[in-house]
Amino acid sequence: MVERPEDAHRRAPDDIPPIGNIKSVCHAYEWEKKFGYPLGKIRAADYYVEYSHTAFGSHWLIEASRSHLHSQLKQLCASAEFFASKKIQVDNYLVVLDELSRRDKQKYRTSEITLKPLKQIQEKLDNENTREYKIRNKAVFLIYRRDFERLKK
Amino acid sequence: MSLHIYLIKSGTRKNEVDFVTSFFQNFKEFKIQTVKKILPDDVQLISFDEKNTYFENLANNLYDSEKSAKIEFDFVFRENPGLLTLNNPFDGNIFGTIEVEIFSNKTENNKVNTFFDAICQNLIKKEELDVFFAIHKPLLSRAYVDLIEEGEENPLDCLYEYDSKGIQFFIKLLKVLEILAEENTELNELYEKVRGNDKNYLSSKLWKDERIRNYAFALAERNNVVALEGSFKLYADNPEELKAFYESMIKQILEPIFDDVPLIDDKIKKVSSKIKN
Repeated sequence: MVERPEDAHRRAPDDIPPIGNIKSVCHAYEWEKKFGYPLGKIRAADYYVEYSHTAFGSHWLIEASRSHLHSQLKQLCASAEFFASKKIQVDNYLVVLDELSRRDKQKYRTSEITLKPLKQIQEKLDNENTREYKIRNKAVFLIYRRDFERLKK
Repeated sequence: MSLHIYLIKSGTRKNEVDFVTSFFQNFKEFKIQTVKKILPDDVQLISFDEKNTYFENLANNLYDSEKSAKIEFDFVFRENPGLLTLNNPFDGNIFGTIEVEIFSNKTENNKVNTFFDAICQNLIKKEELDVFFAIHKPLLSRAYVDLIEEGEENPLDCLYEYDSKGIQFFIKLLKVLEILAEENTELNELYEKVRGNDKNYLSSKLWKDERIRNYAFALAERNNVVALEGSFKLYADNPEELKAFYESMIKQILEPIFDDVPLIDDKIKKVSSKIKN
């Protein structure tokens, strides 16, 4: 996937959930110029989005490019560290996904109702060993693309 | 589409760390940026100097890390960021003892999105991977690059594979037969005949027969698939060629072997019908 600006803009409506009115979208390819993000050196999520209002905060870091959660979280974590080091406001982290793979299901627990905090399993495969997955002490939300329409209603 | 490496279960943390440092020493284009030790409630940055003792110091710093810790090596591969993760045993069972991922650099000039892209574009030479895995065979269980996240389950989705046990080559063939038989009634009949056999025993018999093995490798070559002896290595550029290769193995090797074998259902009916009321 070549991240040409026109491709990134075309893809954005499928990647950015309508959880509030979108005030601004800053695509990953713009981060280098805007924030000094070293794109070839640090893994990057896809969008830094400001909503005018959501129930959880206005500034969201969104990762939507990879097909599986485990790998998406790695991109989100690296971007979160960078944004924190530059003291750029991020209220929440969000992963947009089509489906949970078999391996992801072994490691992560997600609610059927999306836009809920993600949980991960520790050491043993049972529910007692789940704990909230956090990046920089904040919950990570997960939403399936198929639920975007439902959010608009 | 990342590289998953499974090391033998009896390996120590020292073995694992040595394997990882050896990987970075062998593949010099993977340049380490930072190393982190991750425990459930703690993240520590591991320091290392970049002078002559670079890898020695790094390894010494990590040898006594708890097995429950994950160790992350951020690296740069050419113009792309990447991550090698030495997993704890729980994650290791799911994702592999070691995972190597290459990520998009999200710029207009991006050419590589995944580890598999780097192999396809010959930026990582599969022959060099083969040699590296062969050298580390005593520690290695298997390594593969999957086409999709579920690749581990379906041999048709694994385009690069190295296994330390040769018989896995034919075990994969039996798995493919099972998968293809779900949609193909002709193959389903063959599968019904094959499924009653012990997979390990049958695969071992096929692998040990030199003519059959060489014939299978020749079929691979005809389908642009690289299959090699030693341990077992398999490489295909695209999934269609890999599927064609497995289909030809089914047709040329499995079908003739099981041609005269009766279906177990037919045999049961025959015996059943002879039983007097």
